[in-house]
Formats: sequence, structure tokens, C-alpha cells
Amino acid sequence: MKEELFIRAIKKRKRRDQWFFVFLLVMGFFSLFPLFSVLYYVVSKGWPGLFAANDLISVFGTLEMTLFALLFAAPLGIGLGFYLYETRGTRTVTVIRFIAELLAGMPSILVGMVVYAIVVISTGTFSLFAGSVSLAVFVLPFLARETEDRLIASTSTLKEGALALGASNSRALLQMVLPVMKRPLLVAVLLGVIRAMGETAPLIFTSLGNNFWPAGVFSPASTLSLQIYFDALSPYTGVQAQAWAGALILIAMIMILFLVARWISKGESK
Amino acid sequence: MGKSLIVETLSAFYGKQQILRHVSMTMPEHQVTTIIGPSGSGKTTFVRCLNRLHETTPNAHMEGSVWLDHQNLYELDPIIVRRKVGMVFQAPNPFPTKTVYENVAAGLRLNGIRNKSIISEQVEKSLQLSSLWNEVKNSLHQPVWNLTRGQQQRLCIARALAIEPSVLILDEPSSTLDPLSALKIEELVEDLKSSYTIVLVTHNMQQAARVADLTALFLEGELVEQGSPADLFTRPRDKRTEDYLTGRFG
Ligand SMILES: Nc1ncnc2c1ncn2[C@@H]1O[C@H](COP(=O)(O)OP(=O)(O)O)[C@@H](O)[C@H]1O
Ligand SMILES: [Mg+2]
Repeated sequence: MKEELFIRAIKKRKRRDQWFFVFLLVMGFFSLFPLFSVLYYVVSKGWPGLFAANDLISVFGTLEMTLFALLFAAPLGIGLGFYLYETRGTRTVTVIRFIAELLAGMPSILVGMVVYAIVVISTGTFSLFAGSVSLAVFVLPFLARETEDRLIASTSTLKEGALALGASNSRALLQMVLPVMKRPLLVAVLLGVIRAMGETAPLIFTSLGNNFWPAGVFSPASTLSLQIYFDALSPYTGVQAQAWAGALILIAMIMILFLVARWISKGESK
Repeated sequence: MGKSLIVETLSAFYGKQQILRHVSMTMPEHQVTTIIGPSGSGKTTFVRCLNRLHETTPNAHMEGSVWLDHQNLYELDPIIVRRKVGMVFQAPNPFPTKTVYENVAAGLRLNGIRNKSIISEQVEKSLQLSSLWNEVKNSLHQPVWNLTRGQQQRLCIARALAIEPSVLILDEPSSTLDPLSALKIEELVEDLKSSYTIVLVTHNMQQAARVADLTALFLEGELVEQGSPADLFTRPRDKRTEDYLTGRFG
């Protein structure tokens, strides 16, 4: 009698488990559906427009602009991250951290407007340079935060180990902590590159876009994200195809960078 | 080489929160002083005050004094203090990008010693002292992750000994190791006490009873009782010690 009650209860629980599993499956399908449909659309619509001259111009624009941006942002952001890590808990740094967080949460279009007001107006032209500056300002707080988090996660015992041997603070950081941080920082910079690559809003006011090869660093330049933005607004289907092609190339580049970042952080845990 | 370490009315704080209250005790040379107490009682904070690592934590400060060989450590440069008072941490923390050899040499290099023959002499001597030499002499230039955790912890001991401290602090050095490696560390502590003043934090009362010449019990940031392990464990003077030993505390 009792035994039977138990068996019935267990059966009931099993059935409930199965229903829950079905529920998870459905939820999983619905959440992956948008992702796959985006991929499907981008690939099928972007394919025909590939290998046009404009694509190449935008790819180079994107590469140059993010490279320049990270040239500014990586040393500053990583430096700021070390500073935040070193001075945790003091009052000045609480203020600086607050500002950095505010900056990180600011809509990127505001960054574009500010850089427009400062760089574009003073140099008198929209330019690849101004675009780089706005992307640099955009990723800087992100890099600082990532650096600080990675330092906290991986090295406090290492730094103390060095201090306990009579190392000065700067030696402990430069000789013992920094070598360990190489890979994590590289990953952080790559994630910064990925964020910068996809940004459009700050570039509209600063780099403007260009259908031709830019004459130099101080002339307007196109990027993939700008190509997508402007070409998609066009009424002509031929031009719209260029937007899809830009999207396909951008997604491919971002995916490759993600894979590289993952590969690097895997090697790290050896 | 060893010198007695004398602590006078030491109090330690994190921000406004007081962690240690007026701790006074002497850790005699050539002896093992063990510090026991439940977790959170301030053992780690106490030993971090001895090599002035406590003050490197943001917002942390201390009051009182620590004397070694007639010098107040809090009137010296902290970098000099840390050369005199070596420390081994709870979990092995070798420098992961450096080889076995370079880990032991790290303290010498960080302190500006460049002479190769002095360094290699010192590395071998320290590895002998930490009874690791025979296990690693053929893999000195291999990465440290090839060592077991127990070997890594002994490497950290060698690293601390290489700069010839007078005092060696070990903060629960075997709590994350397997029993056999833990036993090796314990034997090592016995060997080393002839040359150093040893301060061993442990949560393991059997271990404290085996290796200690002197045992101190910390409860909630206070030094409740100190004495020979025989006295402290069998004839506690303080009611709180008795409660702790019989498991009625915390
Ligand atoms: N960095 C810190 N900031 C604030 N409080 C801390 C910090 N480290 C330890 N404490 C507090 O100090 C007390 C004593 O900790 P600790 O010295 O680590 O004890 P034990 O080593 O005996 O376990 C605990 O209450 C702990 O929460
Ligand atoms: Mg502790």
C-alpha cells in the first residue's frame, strides 16, 4: 500500500520533469530563432553584393579606424584599469570610478556629438581621425573596467607574493603581475575592438562616410557600419544590396575575432 | 639567524572595523609558535601585520609595535621588513610565467642582486632547505605547473628562504594540500626551526600540538591564551579556551 503511493509519486515527478524539459527546449528554440534568422538573412542577402569596390573601401576604413582607436584607447584604458586596481577603496578613485561608469553607460551618440564639437570643429573637417577618437572614447571605460576585473580575478595573491619578497610596488606589478596579464589583456583589447567595430552612432558626426578611398587620415572615411547605415536607407535595391554585403562582412570579421579571443583565453588556462 | 619577534598592543583595522584588539605576544627564536583559532578570528590579519603586508590593503591600518632584534619594524622601510620576515601563503602562489629556478631566484632579483653564481648558489641552498632539491634538480628550468601542489608550496617556502629572512611566517600552508604533502610541510617546519623564528597559522589542532613549542589561541580578534601546547590543550586557564577546545565556541 505504502510502496504503491511512493511509486505513484515518483512517476508523477518524472512526468513533471519531462514537461519541464520540453518547456526548456521550446524556450531555447525561440531564443535561438532570431539569431539564426539574422544569420540566414544576412548571408542570403549579402552574398550577391560582395566583392564590390565599396566593400573594400569600408573594410579598410573599419580596420584603420579601429586600429587607430585602440592605439589611443588600449594604453590609456589599461593604464586607468591598473590605477583603479591599485587605489581601490580610496575616495578620489571612487569619484573617478563613478565618472568612468557614467561614461560607459552614456549613449554612444553623445560621444559622437562631443567629439564633433571638439575635434571636427577644430580641425575643420570630418575625418577618419575624428572617428578614431570617438571610438577610442567609447571603448576606454570598457577597457579600464575589464583590466581592473581581470587584475582582481587573477593576480592579487601573485602581487602579494612579490611584495612579501621585498619587491617595491612598481616592481611587483611590472615584473610579476604584467607578464601573467598579457593574455587576459589581449583578450580584453580584442573584445574592445569588437565593440568598436560595430559602432555606428559616434561615427555619423565624426567620420561621416565616403564613397571613395579617403585622401588621408584627415578626410572623411567609410566603415562597414557606416556603409550599412547609409546604404540601407537608400531607395535603390542595388545600393541596399551593398548594406547587406557590409553586414555580412562585418559579422564575419566579428566572428573571426571572437574565435581568436576564445582561442587565446583557452591557452591561458593551461 | 633567527631572532625573537615581540608584538606590543597590536590592533588592526579594515576601514573603521577593528579586527585585532591589543594583541601582545612574543614569538621566541628557534621555536615554532603556532596560532590557532576559528576562521575569521584574525589569524591572517595578525601575521600580515608582522611583515607589514596588512597596510598594503586599501583602507587598512594598524596601531601598536612589532620588534625584531631591538628594532621597531614599523619604523623601518616596509621593503626591508619583508626581507627580514618571510611569508608563505595559504594556497601555493608560485609565479606562473617563471621556471622553477626563476621562482626561487625571484626574491634576489627583485632586490637587485645580479651576480649569477651567488644566485645559483642561493637557489640550490634554498631548494635543499625546503627538501625539494632532489625532486627538481633535473627540471630546474621547467615551468612550475609541472610540479604538484605540495611541491609548489615547498617551492614557495624555498622562494621565501632564498632572501635569508630571520622569521618565517606560514599561514595555513597545508590547508589546501593532500595529507601526505601536508605531512611533508610539517616535517619541514620542524627542520627549519633550528635556524629561524617560525610562526605557523593552522586550523588543525593536532598539527599545532605536534609541532608547536608555543601555541596562541585567537578568538574574535583577541589573543585569549598562550602557552606550551601541553598546557593550553590539557590545562586551559581561560574558560573560552576550554569552550573552544571542546567545540562549544563558534
Ligand atoms: N580585505 C578585508 N577587508 C575587510 N575585512 C576583512 C578583509 N580581510 C579580512 N577581513 C575580516 O577580518 C576578519 C579576520 O579575518 P582573517 O584575519 O582572515 O581571519 P582568519 O585568518 O583567522 O580566518 C574577518 O571578519 C574578515 O571578514
Ligand atoms: Mg586565514
